[in-house]
This record gives sequence, structure tokens and C-alpha cells, in this order.
Amino acid sequence: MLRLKNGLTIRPLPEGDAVVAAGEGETAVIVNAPAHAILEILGEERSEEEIAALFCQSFPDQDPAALRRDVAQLLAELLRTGLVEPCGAAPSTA
Amino acid sequence: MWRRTVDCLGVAVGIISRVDELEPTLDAVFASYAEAEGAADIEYEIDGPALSRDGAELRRCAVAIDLVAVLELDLYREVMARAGGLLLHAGALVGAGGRALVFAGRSGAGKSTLVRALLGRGFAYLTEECVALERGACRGLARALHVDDERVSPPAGFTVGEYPIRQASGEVVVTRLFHPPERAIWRGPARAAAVVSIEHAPDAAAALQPLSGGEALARLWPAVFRPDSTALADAGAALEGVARYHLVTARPEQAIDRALSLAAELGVEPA
Repeated sequence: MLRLKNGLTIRPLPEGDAVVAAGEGETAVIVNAPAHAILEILGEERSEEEIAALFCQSFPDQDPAALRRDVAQLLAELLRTGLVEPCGAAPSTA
Repeated sequence: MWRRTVDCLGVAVGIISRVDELEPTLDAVFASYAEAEGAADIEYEIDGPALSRDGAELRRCAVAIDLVAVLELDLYREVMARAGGLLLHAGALVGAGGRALVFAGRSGAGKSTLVRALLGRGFAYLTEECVALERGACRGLARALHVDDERVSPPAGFTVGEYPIRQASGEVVVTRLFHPPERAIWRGPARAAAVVSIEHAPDAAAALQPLSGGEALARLWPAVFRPDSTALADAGAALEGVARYHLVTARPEQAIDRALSLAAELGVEPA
């Protein structure tokens, strides 16, 4: 499961882009419209599969496989930049 | 005694000088600002060797002329702290119907050159220094155009003042101040038709690229005067409904041509 990192403020920009600021704005990241949409979705905990399903519902004329691939890439980038973090129980290694 | 209350981005700034020798310089520095209505939000006073703000002494200078530069810099700082909207280091011109073109960029990007060129083509002057952008409206800091290059001539109808500034070495350098005629100054807010982030790159091919909201904020951020959480919060509303571009040029003539083409494309005609 994934969630938006605590303490971030999302400020919308024209064309669906957004600027995401931490704390009092000491650091900020500008994201494009699809990444902004994912961040809004992650206001509550979601799995990658749930997010991809929401995108497929919203863009029924798009290739579902391509959408899932794009969502996976965006989530990886959002995890890398620290805007999104894993949550919930870690997978068992037993 | 010299006394004025000037409008700086909607902030009323009162200035009193009791030093006679500073009057010509103060006249030149503040000539293009509009008179503010109502009581001053900030009060400066020069009396003898001292400059005070709101009754508290800011600085004493052995040479009186130094006080004007100290006053001007402090005034900018105070006005920037109080003015509303997204504050951009930018020049801006206004065309017919009060529609403005805003050219934002760092020092040396070519803002002043563009502003002077478009003034010469009939656009009205908003600012060459600072724009406050708020919900599609923009205000400009109406200071005189500061020109250090002796080869630059003032546009037709402009008057020229002198601003002597003492350097650290003690040498006095005189900056020329170009004052637009009153009819060529746009007073009050204008509607921002476009915000253009400008960049001078000697080896670049000239290009004018439309920007999304995020791209525009990233391009404009180095030109934001008060880059803090408030600016981030204001950015979305400031840029909404305004066309946004990035203009890269190698030579001033290219920038002028592209700016004029953009103005025509957006229907922003000289006033």
C-alpha cells in the first residue's frame, strides 16, 4: 500500500499541474497533471493496482496496459522523490 | 523641504527630505511614480545625515547622496514584503484595452532592452523592474528606467534625469533615468495577456515555447522576488487565465521581433 507523505501541501497550477511543498515551502516539487492526480488519489491509502484501476476507469479509450505501465512509472518516480511512501504491513519474507 | 507620497505596487510610501541638495536626485528617482491616495503605509524621512523609517533611524551617512540609494533599496524591500500577489522580477508593457505583456527573467536576460524597444513602438509603460501578478491582473513598480549604457538613447518624448550613486571606491557613477511622459505610463492594474520567461543564450536558436502551469512556475521561480510558501500558494491563481511562454534568443533584435509577433498573435496592439 502507498500513501502521500505527511506534511506535504499540494497547490494546484493551471492545466492540472501542481506544486507540492514540504513544511513552510523550504522544498517544493512541481508535478505534471497525471502525477498530481495520483497524489490526490493517495490522500487515502491505495495500492498500485487500485490507482491503475481508477486511471483505467477515467480513461476508458486508452490502452489499459499502457495506462498501468505509466502509473507504475509515475509511482516509482513519486516514491523516489519522497512524495509518496509505502505504508501498512511489510510483505512477509517467511 | 521635499515631500511626496508615492504609490509602489499599491503600497503608499511617504518620503520627506529636509536636505536641500538631495531634491534634484529625489525628483529624478521618484518622477515616474504616481501620487498615492490616502495615508502613507510607510514613512521615510531624511534629516541631516540620517534616514529613518516610521520614526526609527535606519542609517547615518557622512555623504548625503548615499542616503537616497539606501532609501531606495529599503523601500523596495519593504514594498515587496507588503505587496500582494506573485512578485516577479519583470518588465511589462500595456497595449490597447489594458492588456499587458510581462517579460520575466533574471538580471541580464534582456528585460530592459525589450521594454525600451516596445515603448518605442507605442506600448504603455508598466514597469521595467517588478510585476505583482494576481488572478490575471498585474501591477507594476513604476520606477524610472535605469540606463547605465551611454549609447542608449531615450525613446521619443522621454525626459532624462540623473541619479548619482557613490561606489565603494568613493567614485560617483551617474546612472541615467529615463522618464516616460505621463500619457505613456499605465496607471493602476492591467490584465496580463501573457507572461513570458525570457532567457538570453548566445548560441541558442530563437524559440518561443508555450508552457504548462508547472513548466511556467519552474521557469519563473528564479525571477520570483519573495520565493517562499506564500509565493507557492499564490502561483496557481496568479498564472490562471494567463498565456505562458519561454522565449530564448541569442540577440536583442530576435527577442524584440518575437515579442512583437507574440503581441500581434495575442491581439495586444499598441495603446
